[in-house]
Formats: sequence, C-alpha cells, structure tokens
Amino acid sequence: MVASRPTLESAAMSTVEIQNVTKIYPGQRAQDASLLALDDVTFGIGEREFCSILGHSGCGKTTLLNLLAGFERPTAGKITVNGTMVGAPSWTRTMMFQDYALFPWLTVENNIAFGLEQKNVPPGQRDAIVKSQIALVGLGGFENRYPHQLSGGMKQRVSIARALCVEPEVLLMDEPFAALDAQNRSQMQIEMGRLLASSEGTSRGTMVLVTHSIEEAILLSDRIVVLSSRPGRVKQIVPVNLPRPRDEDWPEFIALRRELRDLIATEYRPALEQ
Amino acid sequence: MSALGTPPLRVSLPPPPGIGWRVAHRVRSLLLPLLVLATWQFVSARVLNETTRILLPPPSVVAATAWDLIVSGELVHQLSASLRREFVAFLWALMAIPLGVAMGWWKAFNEQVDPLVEILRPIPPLAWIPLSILWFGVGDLQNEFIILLGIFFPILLNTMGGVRVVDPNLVRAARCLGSSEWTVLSRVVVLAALPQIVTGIRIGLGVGWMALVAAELVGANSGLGFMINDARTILRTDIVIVGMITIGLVGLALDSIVRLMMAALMPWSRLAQR
Repeated sequence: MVASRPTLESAAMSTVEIQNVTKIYPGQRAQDASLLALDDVTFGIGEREFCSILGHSGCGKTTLLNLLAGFERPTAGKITVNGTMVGAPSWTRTMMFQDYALFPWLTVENNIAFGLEQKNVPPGQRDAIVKSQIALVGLGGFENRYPHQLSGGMKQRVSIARALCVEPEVLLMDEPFAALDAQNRSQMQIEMGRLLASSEGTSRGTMVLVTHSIEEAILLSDRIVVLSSRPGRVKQIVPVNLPRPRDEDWPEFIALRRELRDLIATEYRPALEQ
Repeated sequence: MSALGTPPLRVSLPPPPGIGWRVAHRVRSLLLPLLVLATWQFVSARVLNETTRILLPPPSVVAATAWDLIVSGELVHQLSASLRREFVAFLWALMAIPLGVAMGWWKAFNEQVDPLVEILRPIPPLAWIPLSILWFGVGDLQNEFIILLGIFFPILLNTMGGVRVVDPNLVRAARCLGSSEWTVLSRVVVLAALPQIVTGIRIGLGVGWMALVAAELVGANSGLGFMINDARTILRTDIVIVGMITIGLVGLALDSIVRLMMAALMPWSRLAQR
C-alpha cells in the first residue's frame, strides 16, 4: 500500500511538524540519573489527518502529547503547528484526557461552554454551538447534570464536545478510552469512527491520538506512528488505507493488526527489564 | 421504602416501620441522655444538701433559669454580643483564603511566608490573650482578635492544602481551552479547592467559637463567656450551666449552618452531601 498521506519526505506540507525532538527529564536528586523520554523524534502530521501514536506505557507517547499541547517544552528540537512554534497552551490545540478532567462544579452544558467563553464567543452563538455539540455526542437530556452524576462513557463524551467545540486546529487525545470498561470503550471507538467518517469534508482539524491499543489505532487512524520504548524513538510509521467506518473482522484489519503486534512485541522485553 | 406500586411478585420485604415504632426508636436512642439527666436530678435534689446543691443545681432549676433568662432577654443579649464578635472575626479571617491560594500556588511566595506561618500557627489563640488585652484593652476588639487567630489558621492551611492537590489535568484542561493564568486561578484552582476551603471554614468557626468564650471570660463586659464568669462570682451556677449549654448548642448550630450552606452552594461536591 502506498501512503496517500504526507510522509516524512513531504513533511514540509504538514500541519504539525515534529523535528528532532528530544526530551530529557533531569533526576529529582543529584545522584539520580536523568531520563531520556524522547530521542530525536521527527515526523509530520498532515492537515485533517488522524494520526495515532502507538507504544507501550513509558515509551514517551504522553510526553510527546504534552509537548504538542505546550504543557512542557522539548529539551531539543522544535515543534511547529501551521508553521508557528508551539508555545504556551492555547485553544488551537485542545486535549482530551484519560481521566476526562471535567470541571466538577460545572454542568455538562457549562463544561462544554467553558472554552467558548474563553474564546469570547457571544452568548447567543455559544448556546447554539453547545446545543449542537450535545446533540452530536448524544447527551440530550443531560445538559444540567454534574460530572459526578455521569458514567465514564458520558463523561468522555462531554470531554470530546468540550475539546471540539472551540474548533481547534489540532485535537490531542491522551488514551481517552482507556479508563472505560470494555463495552463502553468499543462503543466510544465506534462512535468516534462514525464521527470521523461523517466529518469528511467538514472543517475538523488534525487529530492526534495516543494509545496502547492496536485495535483502537487501526480503527481510527490514517497513519500510525509506532514508538519504541525508553527512549522513545520513531520505530515505524504505518499508513492505514482502509475505508471508514472500519470493521475489526476485515482481513486487511487483521493483517495490519498482526503487523503492528509484531512491531510492538519486540519492544516489550526491554520495557519489562526497566 | 414505601410506595413501590404493586409488584408482580410477592417479595417478602419487611413492612414499613409504623409511627409507633419510629417513636419507640427515637426514645430508645435518647435513653442514655435521659438516664444521665434523671441521675443528675436525683443526685442534686436528694443526695446533696442545701449548701452543696449550689455547686450542682438540678436540671429543673437550670431549665427554670434558662426560661427566665430567655424571657428577660438577657440570654439573647449576651448571645448576640458573642455571635457578633464571631462574625466580625470571621469576616477578617476570610483574608486567609487569598493568602492560602497564593501560598499554595506560587512556590516563591510560599517560601517567604511559610516560615512565619509555621512559627505563629502553633501558638494557641489563648496564649495571645494577655498581650492582646494590653494592645486592645477589654472589649470587642480584643475578643475579635483572639477569635480571628482561631479561625484564621484552619482556613489558611486548608486553602493551601486544597490548592496544592488540585488535579493538574484540570489546570491543563483550562489552559488548553484558552484560559489565562488569572482565569485558571479564579475559575479553576479556587473552585477545585473550594470543598477544602469550606472544611477549613467549618473547623475555623469551631475553634474560633471556643477561643471566643475563653477571650470573653477574661476580657469582656458582655457575651456568653462574660455571662458565665460573672455568674460564677455570685455563685449562680444555674446561670453558668445555662451559659455552657447555650455555647454548646450554638457551636453545633454554626456547624450545621455551614454544612447546609455547603450543600446548597456546592451541589457538585460529594463532600457537601456527607
């Protein structure tokens, strides 16, 4: 299969450019060794592309996401979005968290509206956007609930709506479905897939998903960046040229899953020895 | 467990407790207090003689005195003096909230202020009484100062603690939705710490109320503390006991009021529902 999406060679056209990024965490005390979390990571993510970063826990994939969001700075190298260096966090790069990170004191409605308020969207328009987002993620009737009154799956729906409604250039997702139970997880993955299929041609931005689930990565991605463990290096970039919505029973899906599993398996032992 | 409709199956639920059962239950839970009261009445009225009875008047006499003090307006007068001091001191003590937020949020600020707080905090408010009488004389100002010390530190420490344990992902979520530093602090950090701030207020009001009575014992011309100390000098132990009971009941009431306000103001907090 030939990748129709931008690859390393055509990276100059990408929305997100990650160039020779290295991240070192200094040891807590003087005698502690410093930790090389990411080592010379370079790849680009195209406009409107859905890119997954796949790897074992501790491979630095969340670190990479934090660098993309601007929560942390790379030790070396640079990250640009649409040609601009990533600086402080901004609504152009919103994040979905594994633990949802909903504001417990705000209702579903107000959680979703939070980013719009920060963006100074006028109240009338804000309400309309919130309403359509609530409908989109299927939370009608729960507008005035507080997060502690929602199930995990519903919380993550609020989180999706909150992150998407400000229309970010890049949506960053940090293992968004990992905390859900199996049924809810696959349900959310399917819905996310449908959301992506239905948004072809609309104004959605670039999506970056960090995951350790091979199935999730195949189900949703245009391209999968496989990271090696400790230090995190780009091991391989695997394009997924399958129509959406995808099905886990397709032979191509199964073949790709095997390929990725083999790629990841060789990484498992060193991670265990750490 | 009352109106369940008509179930299709006969489930052997225990019958709902009748009114008689509930009254019996309530009486049973009051058994020990009633026994103590009866013993007190018996000892005071039958065992003690005319002279020693002055030291422990029977509950019947205390109740009669309480009634007299209520009817004459004396009790309300002294109580309102005490409550006013507690309230004024409480308003001043609210300064602990911004201070605590600043100490919890900015490490550099905390480094400067923390040593001072750590030195002052272990000094009991009561130890300040002699110095405060010299500074402020006998009266409201001195009392309020002592109460302030009692309320201030619990609020400060709880606010600091609450701010320090704010979920970092909430802060990150706000930042990537476009919040400025000030918005993060005012709309996320303070609210996330609010349950603990209110806990600090509850503890503080309790400590302050105890400190108040001690301050009034020596440095006031009105208030419940003054009333019981004044009654002691003329051997009116019945008034002393009425004063003590009032102090206890009002302390309890203050705590209940704060708890109710908590539940009303923070419907999202599980802490408030406890």
